[in-house]
Amino acid sequence: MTPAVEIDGVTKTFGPQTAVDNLSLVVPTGTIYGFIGPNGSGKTTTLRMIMRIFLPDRGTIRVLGDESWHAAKDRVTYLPEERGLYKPMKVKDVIRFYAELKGMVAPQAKIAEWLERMELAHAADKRVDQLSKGMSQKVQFISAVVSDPELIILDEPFSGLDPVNENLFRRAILDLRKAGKTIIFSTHNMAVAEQLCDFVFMIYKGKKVLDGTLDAIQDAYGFDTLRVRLEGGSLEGLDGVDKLTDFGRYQELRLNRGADPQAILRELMRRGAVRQFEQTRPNLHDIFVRIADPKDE
Amino acid sequence: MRKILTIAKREYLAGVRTKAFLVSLILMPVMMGGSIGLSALSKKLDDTSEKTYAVVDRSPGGKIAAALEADTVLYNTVIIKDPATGQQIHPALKIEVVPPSDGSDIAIRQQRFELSERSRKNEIEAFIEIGPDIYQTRTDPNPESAEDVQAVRLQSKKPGEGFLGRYLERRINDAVQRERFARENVDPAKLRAIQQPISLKTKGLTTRNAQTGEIEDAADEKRLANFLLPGVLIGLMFMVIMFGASPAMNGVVEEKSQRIAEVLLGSVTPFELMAGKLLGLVGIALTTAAIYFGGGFVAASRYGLTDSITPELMVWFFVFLTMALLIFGSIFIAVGAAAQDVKDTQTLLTPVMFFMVMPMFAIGPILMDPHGKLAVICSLIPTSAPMILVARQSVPPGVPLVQLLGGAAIVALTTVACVWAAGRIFRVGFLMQGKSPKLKDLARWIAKG
Repeated sequence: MTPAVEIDGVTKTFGPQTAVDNLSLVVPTGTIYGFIGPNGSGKTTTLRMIMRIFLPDRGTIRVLGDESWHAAKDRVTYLPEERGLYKPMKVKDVIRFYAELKGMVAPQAKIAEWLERMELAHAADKRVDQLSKGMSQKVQFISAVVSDPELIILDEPFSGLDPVNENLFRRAILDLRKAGKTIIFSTHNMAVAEQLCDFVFMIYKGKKVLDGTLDAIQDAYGFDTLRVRLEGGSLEGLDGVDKLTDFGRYQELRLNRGADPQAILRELMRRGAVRQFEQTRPNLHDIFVRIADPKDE
Repeated sequence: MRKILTIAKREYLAGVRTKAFLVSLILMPVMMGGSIGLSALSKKLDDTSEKTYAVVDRSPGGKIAAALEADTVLYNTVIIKDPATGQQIHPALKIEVVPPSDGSDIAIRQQRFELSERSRKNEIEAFIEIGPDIYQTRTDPNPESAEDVQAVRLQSKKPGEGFLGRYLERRINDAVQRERFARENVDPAKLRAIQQPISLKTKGLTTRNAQTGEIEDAADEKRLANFLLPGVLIGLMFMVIMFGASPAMNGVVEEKSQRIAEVLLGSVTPFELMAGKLLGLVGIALTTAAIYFGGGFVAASRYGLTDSITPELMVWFFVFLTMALLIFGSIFIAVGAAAQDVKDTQTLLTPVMFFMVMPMFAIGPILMDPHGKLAVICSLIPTSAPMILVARQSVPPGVPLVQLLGGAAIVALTTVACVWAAGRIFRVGFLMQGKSPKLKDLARWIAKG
């Protein structure tokens, strides 16, 4: 099957700054692909290049098998990080406007369906400037997906949502994947990325530093983390421990290469009462921090 | 094209549904009808009750007071009424002839005081005192320097002549002149015939009808229309461009600051977006122009000036207005895309405004000589040509066809160039954040894209 997006050797510079550096990436059709990376690392630039809002200086980008701009534009939709809606317009009118821009004819039924699905039917006749932030975000999301696009690009779709609405968005995104759509979304919420993404891609200082399934990425780091709860003793000064992070209810110990977890367990039992001892792989948050903030290591 | 029309439709509907648009539409008839309405209202509010004017006629024979008294019949039956409606619009008039006191200074002063007292008590509106030597012609023609004996005094609580004061002045003048003619044995009718002013008819050039071969006389030149119409057309064009282009520019600034730009550019190319906005702007402006033009036509028909508004003139007006809208509209939209906020737009628009108002400064001399060198030069400058050519076209015999077509071609080429350049500025500027561009930046964006 043709990949939804193929990025090959793409570089984009703004003046002296290289935003994306020789990036190659393949997004398979029908998957959820998470883009992670610190602020200013090149995520949004990459998304904008996929949308052809920016053109790459070097390299090629094929979207839904097409390299030309016009061929795929109506089959691709984009929800930018900064939400943009015409404030004086009614909810149903603004969604209709975006649907018509994507070539939909008589989209009223589809709009009503999505408003119902996102629990927003009661606000159809409200003006956008009368909506709460969460409601505006729903309107923006519906505007992006109502035209039934094949590729959906969402830049920070979960930012600012309460847990209820976050679940609503999560369900909607999973439903879209079930319907065969490809979803690319960028996020700073590592837990969401872990739960939703089939693939995770991390960009740092314009370069790709991670790309693959979550399992494959975690496997690359191995079982080098101990999750420990110790009562009556200190975790300081343990042999074979590279870094200690206190999460309050438990502490996380990252092991040096070749360190023996059993020896550490014996030492912990000597120091106090061990209530929790779990050997695990680093989560996405840890991996992100290890890459993006080495001084914190 | 479908996407351009979708954007144009949104822009148009958003534009015509704003309060600013409705206010501008309401303001026009208010401004145009205001003077008519006010004058009608003031007529309604005028006091039409009977006013008594006391007349002290010191002239020999007291003929003037008698003449005034006789005139009141005509006044109170005919002049007092609006000829169109037959309704009374002026106060009724009663003349009270008061025998003059003796000619001594004290007696005259005493009589003036007594009549003033009666006026203060509202027994009379005013009093008129006709000097004893009123029939003698003055050596000094300046009426201000005349002595009381050779003048007519009008005294009242409310200084100022008012309608009745002016009417009585004319009647007294007539009566005095009748007496002077009689004394000199001059037939007044004959004298008026001799003094009848000439009739100056200003016309265009006589032409030969190409189809019939007949030589056709030029139409009469209507001086008022020739002066008024070009100014109105230029003013209307300027106003319509500003009403259309300014909100469109502010809309782009808003879309940029609210990050709507990125959403739109996810669906359309920058050029499609700009073209849609431009079409919407032209639609709004032409709607405004059509309504204003219609209102103006109705107003002109009241004064019989519609002969000058020919179908040809209307076609040229809308053709040049459309091109001017595309030129200035695309520039305004590009400025909106380049600016970070409304303050930036003011800086960037300064040179544009110079070109926009240039025709307003030139219109005075051009109206004095609609086919002179200045008029021709301004007709060839692309930014002023639309307004100047339409203004000149409204003055018979119009602009020579070569100049009209040449000017239209120059404006059309400029329109294409402006839309192209604006598209390039728009593409770069619309997503640019955080930096206020200078004019040289805009030039670089046009050159390099």
